[in-house]
Amino acid sequence: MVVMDVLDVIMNAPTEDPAWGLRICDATGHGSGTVYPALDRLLKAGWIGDRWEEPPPPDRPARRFYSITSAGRAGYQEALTARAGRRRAWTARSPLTEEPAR
Amino acid sequence: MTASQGSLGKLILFHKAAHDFLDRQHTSVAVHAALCWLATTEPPYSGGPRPVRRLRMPHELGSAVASTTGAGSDGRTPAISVLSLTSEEIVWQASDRSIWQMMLPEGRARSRPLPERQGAVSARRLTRTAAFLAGRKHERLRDEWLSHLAGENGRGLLRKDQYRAACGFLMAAVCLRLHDAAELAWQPLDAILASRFLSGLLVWGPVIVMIIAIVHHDGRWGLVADIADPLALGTFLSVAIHRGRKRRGIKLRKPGPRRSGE
Repeated sequence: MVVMDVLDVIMNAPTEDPAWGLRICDATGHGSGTVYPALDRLLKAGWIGDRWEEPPPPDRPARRFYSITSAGRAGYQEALTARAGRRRAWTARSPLTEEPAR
Repeated sequence: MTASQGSLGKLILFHKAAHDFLDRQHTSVAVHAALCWLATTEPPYSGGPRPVRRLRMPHELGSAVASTTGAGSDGRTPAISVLSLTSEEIVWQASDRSIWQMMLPEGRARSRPLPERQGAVSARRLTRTAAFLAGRKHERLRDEWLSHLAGENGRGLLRKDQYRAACGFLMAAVCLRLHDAAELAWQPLDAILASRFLSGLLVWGPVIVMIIAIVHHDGRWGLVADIADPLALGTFLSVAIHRGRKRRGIKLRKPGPRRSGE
């Protein structure tokens, strides 16, 4: 899931070297066509915040850095818990995990 | 062994060393760089030491080349500066026209910075088109996407990567535009869901119309017989509005205390 991958990268980025577009694309393995709409959705939801590189470097365009917000952190944990619950339920129902009848 | 044979032998060894470190495509580029380097430094091409700009290579590759070519040991050929560069940077340095910049003497190389990739022009045009498609609401995306094209080192991604990214930007712009259009289409329904009065009207309006129709057609006893229909309709609409609010994240404000004068 793109959004979770993007959040994962943003959350694990060090503070002194925050995540930005190209790095998120490289780290997640998703293309720019899916990563940027996901970033836009997360920004609108208030799960992540953004800031521009200051001061802008003279030899290249300034980068837009993303960081996770407290709401995003809480939502991410909630989503992870929900996903783990679904997985547990699914594996419990799966015939592959059942013991063979003797 | 003549100078050319020596160069060939070194080049083969270099190829092996580069192949261990880089993939096939990048190996050929790096070998091309090494060939040019040998051509400018090896006698009889240069006839002695020349002030070539130092070939920058990642540590492993630099060590491999230094060990196979013996650069710097005889005091005639310039030493390879071993820098901790990424493989991406050495490939960038060694690809396209930058190779000739790399071979320039120190002074000229410094006065003339490395040119931008030619493919960047078209990719940038695509990016600007994508930013235009995304609309004014996403105006800042243009700068963000241009910084994406500039890459980690600020000199630009490889040409194919630039085109791939630019195509992605176009797709992202279309997605964002569609999303914005959908948001616009949701606005009237959001207004209904956010208003207690309008939501009530949406539920009770059809129910009352149905009751009137039943009474008009079948009389009051008909209403008693068909009471399940308006009830079902009202329930369906109430549930739909409740679900709609939940899905759109709309929370109704609690009604405040009534004024004593009213």
